[in-house]
Amino acid sequence: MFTVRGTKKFLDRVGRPMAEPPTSSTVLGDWYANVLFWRPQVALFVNAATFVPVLMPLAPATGVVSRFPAGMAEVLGVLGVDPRFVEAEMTEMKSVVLAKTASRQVLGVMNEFTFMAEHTIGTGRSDPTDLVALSVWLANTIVGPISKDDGYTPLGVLRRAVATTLPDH
Amino acid sequence: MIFRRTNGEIAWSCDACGDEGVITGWEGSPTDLSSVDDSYADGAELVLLVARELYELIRGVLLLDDACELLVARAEGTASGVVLTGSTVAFEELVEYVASEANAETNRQRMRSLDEACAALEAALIEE
Repeated sequence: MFTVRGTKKFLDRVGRPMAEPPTSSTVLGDWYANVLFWRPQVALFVNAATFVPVLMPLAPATGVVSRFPAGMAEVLGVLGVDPRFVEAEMTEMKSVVLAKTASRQVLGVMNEFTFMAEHTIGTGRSDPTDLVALSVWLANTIVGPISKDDGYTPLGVLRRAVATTLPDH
Repeated sequence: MIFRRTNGEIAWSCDACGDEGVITGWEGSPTDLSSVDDSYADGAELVLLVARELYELIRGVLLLDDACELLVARAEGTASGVVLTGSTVAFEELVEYVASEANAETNRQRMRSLDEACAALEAALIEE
């Protein structure tokens, strides 16, 4: 089981939140989600533990959280994450709970990602239709709250999380 | 209190301090937001009264999108604080921008103030 913590505009389109959600059983824990008003609209998921971003088409909005594990697996695969880790996360993501956001730090990171994504698209450096490539690019960008030990990037934090879970990795 | 005259001039007076004046030549300037479109930020309209210090902090946030820019620019000062009017989505985005600025802030005191601003805005939104 995992929890998706959505902004109001995400929850308005996807479903009602649970007041006190249970703790996610995945290694990566909760994911935050927001809606980007691009054409077509896009859902931005950001992992609360690593800040790894995953962009996906929002429509159909009611099914976006059930499509999310596959989208996450695709991005993690391109990022070079050990397939055993991805498989284990997918196994624990069979059911999902919606909740309200609870971390201002993650909200701020989602906002930074939105700005950077729109800037790279606006300057013609990224293809807005290739959301996996855009997610991978964002995972390699410097994010304010990430420490030097993790290379300042979500990918650095993710690699550490994988190495901790799979010591033989 | 603001009155827009037909010749483009804006006459204003402050209910709190009694100061007043006339603004001219604003059209086409960087502070001219008349062509900014915030229609994408939908949701019910909210009116929040915030402390003057909180508003000054929000006004200092460097990066805002169009809806938040208008939300801040439309603020009205009163004797008891500053009134912000906008859609729920615009307010929610404002929290995100303030949080983003807090993440990038290296001055611990300002970072704490920005965090407190986020908390105050979120609390006000929940109350509404």
